Amino acid sequence: MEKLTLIFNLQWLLFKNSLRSQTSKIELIGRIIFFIGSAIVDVGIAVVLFIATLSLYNRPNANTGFILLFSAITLYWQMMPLLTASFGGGLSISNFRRYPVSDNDLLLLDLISGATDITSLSIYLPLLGIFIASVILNPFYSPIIIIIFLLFILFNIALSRYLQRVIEKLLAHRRIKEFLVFIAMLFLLSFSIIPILVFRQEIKEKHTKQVSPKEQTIKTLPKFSLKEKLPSSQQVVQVLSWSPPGLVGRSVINLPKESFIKQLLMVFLSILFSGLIILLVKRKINYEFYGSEAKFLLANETTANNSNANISRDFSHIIFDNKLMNLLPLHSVMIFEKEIKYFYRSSKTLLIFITGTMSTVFFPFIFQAQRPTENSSFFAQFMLPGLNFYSLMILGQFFANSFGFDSHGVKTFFLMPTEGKNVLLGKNLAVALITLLQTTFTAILFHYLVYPINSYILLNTIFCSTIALLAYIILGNFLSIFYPQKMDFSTLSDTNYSKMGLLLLALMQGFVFCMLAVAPVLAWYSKLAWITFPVFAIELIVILSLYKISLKYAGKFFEKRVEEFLQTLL
Amino acid sequence: MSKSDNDLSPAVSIVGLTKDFESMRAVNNINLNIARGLFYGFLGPNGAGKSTTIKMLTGLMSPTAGRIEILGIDFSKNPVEVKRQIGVVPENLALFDRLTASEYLNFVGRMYGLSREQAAKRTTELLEFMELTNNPRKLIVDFSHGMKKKVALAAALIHSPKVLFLDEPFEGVDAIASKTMKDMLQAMISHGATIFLTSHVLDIVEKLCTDISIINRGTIVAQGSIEELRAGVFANSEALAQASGKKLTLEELFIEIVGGRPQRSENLLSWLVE
Repeated sequence: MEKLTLIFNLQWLLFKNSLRSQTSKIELIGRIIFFIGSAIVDVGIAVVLFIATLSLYNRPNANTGFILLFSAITLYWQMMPLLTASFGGGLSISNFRRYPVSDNDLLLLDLISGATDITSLSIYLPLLGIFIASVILNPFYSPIIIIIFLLFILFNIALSRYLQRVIEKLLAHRRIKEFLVFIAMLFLLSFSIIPILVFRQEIKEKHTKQVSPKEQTIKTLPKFSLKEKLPSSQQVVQVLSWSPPGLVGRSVINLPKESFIKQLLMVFLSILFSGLIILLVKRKINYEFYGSEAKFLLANETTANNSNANISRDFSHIIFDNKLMNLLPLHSVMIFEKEIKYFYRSSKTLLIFITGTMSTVFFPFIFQAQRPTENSSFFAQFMLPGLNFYSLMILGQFFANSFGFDSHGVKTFFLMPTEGKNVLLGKNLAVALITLLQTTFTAILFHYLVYPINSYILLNTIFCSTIALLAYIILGNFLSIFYPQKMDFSTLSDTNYSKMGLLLLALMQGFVFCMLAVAPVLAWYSKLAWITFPVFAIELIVILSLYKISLKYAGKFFEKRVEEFLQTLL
Repeated sequence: MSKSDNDLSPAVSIVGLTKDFESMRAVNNINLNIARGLFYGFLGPNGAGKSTTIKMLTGLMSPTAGRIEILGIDFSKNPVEVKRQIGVVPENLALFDRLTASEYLNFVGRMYGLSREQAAKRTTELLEFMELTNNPRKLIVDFSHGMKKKVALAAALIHSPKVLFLDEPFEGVDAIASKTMKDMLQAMISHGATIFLTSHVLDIVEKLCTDISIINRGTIVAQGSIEELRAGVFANSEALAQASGKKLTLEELFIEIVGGRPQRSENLLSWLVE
């Protein structure tokens, strides 16, 4: 315990000393604002869940509803850290391996780190809302409810820590990493494809009723019905009801209806599940410290890196030996090339990319049930531009901290005979290429899953994406210079995006959205669809000029802030 | 040929260079003139201001006051041109460690304005010279510290700079590689390059450098050739002058100049030998 106190004291000292610079103080303000904003949203969700729990008390399917709700919470708890590539709260137990700290202390430290992770923190208040309502409904059973709720929290924290270790280990293998990326892509597609297969008939019927003869030409759905082959929802709920989320879901309303034996069994199973996962985490920590796993990880990291270098050799020439590149400053092209190599050699950047794409693929699934027809709103034609705008929001992580991965390499930019604006242009080109890839991918999926894209939609999408991209890059360049955050390249933990940067980016998103909305609103109001083009064209010219001016100033700032930059990133 | 080659301005000229941090002055009004073609050693104890000075000379830190000229070009007015003329192996290196050595050297070469073919040719030669050709697909992140040093040195040389700044270049490098590197640096000097070297390994400095300056607490406390420093120390110390039959090593000179060993209590660290 004494050592744990020392470690927490160390964290406090690190935090306190990190506030010495002006940038860190501003960053702290950003974090506080971010935290308050998140807390307000969380309180809102907690209140809604509290009221919903009270009002659902006598509903026939309430129990099933809660089982599914807690299953969703578990899924969120486990998936969010992966999707945001942010498992840890900055406290890595690997730093304390060299000291004589016991396994139990390390385990405790790891669990505390998981409990203070941003995902966990975002779940506590909504859980509290349900818990209070549940205790009000069944005060006599409150001790059991408390135990089951606490064990549910413990189970999820331990499971997320365990999954983090498993995934980090898997990502050390190049082949497994590639396989996981492939699986992730399939998973993304499944959001859209599985519902089509499962609800084929319903969608077809709805579509036949709604669409005009012209739209009947849209590709018909396959006749095969997967729905009949899948287990029924009742069977799924039955199985889930004995899982950790199911147990806590049942305890919310249904506890008095269960027999005493079942109540005991529920508590026992909750203890068992949590205990098992904690044992697994402990075993994993032991292996990493004393077993062969540490060596295994190092060996495979090397193999993975070597093989990755191999991947890079050929296709980069297709992009960078292109004559178009001669139109750009040589230094920017070289930096662009380096950025692209860095992009696909990092599991973390790939995950950010997948996250963005995943989010955009999820929406076609929602939209596909409401395919726009001739009678649909004019604004339905702006679904794709809207989706691309959304995906750019996700990619904001690339814009807002573009030097995060460079580590000591960032010094190279200051030692080379080049100007800051060339460095930024190279970085911006890389982000533009990544955006182009994501936009294309989203557009293809949209074309097949939602509705065929015509030239009007395509042109508007190109305009919207370019304008939004330039706007983000303008702000992103300044954020990258004024709020740089060091990023760990090789692990999934320790994501350190500047909260102040994210806040400013969020404000920028609101501004860009309003700016982009002008053209469609004008077209709808005037009933002249073509009017979007001149409006977007004017906006594009304005934003391009702004980009050119801002690049010059951002470049100068970059050169002048060399000391602050190196201090933060090294 | 550039303007800087035509005139006879020194390789490095520093006037009144000062650097203040929040509560302390790290470098205090230093003046230096380093002629072209010298292998110049810049020494000092820990925290004396060596790294701060070299950072200011290479553009990694801006001075609070003073002027820096490299080959007659004012750093504050034309930093890009200065950077074109110099090569740097900075403290803790400056490598993009997720590139292979070859990719990194090509990148640096191109950044210095070499054509793709030139950069590729020089990269191959440098990698061979530094004996880094064994595993061409290996990323820099997987290199040993010594290998990283070699890559950093190769990157500093790829554009054949006229002035080379080396911050602890031999630290962690094995004896064989160190010998190869020293020979190459000597060859560069014989072809008119200027090398500005900082190192704590005084034996190496003594063997390589013709001129030296010593910085202590932000101020230059001695400068000149090693013989001049010896003469200076003898003039200041009667005891040493009496024992002048013995030639002082650079290490002894250094200790004498920066203040020697402080007096400590006999009981200090006694627990370590109990």
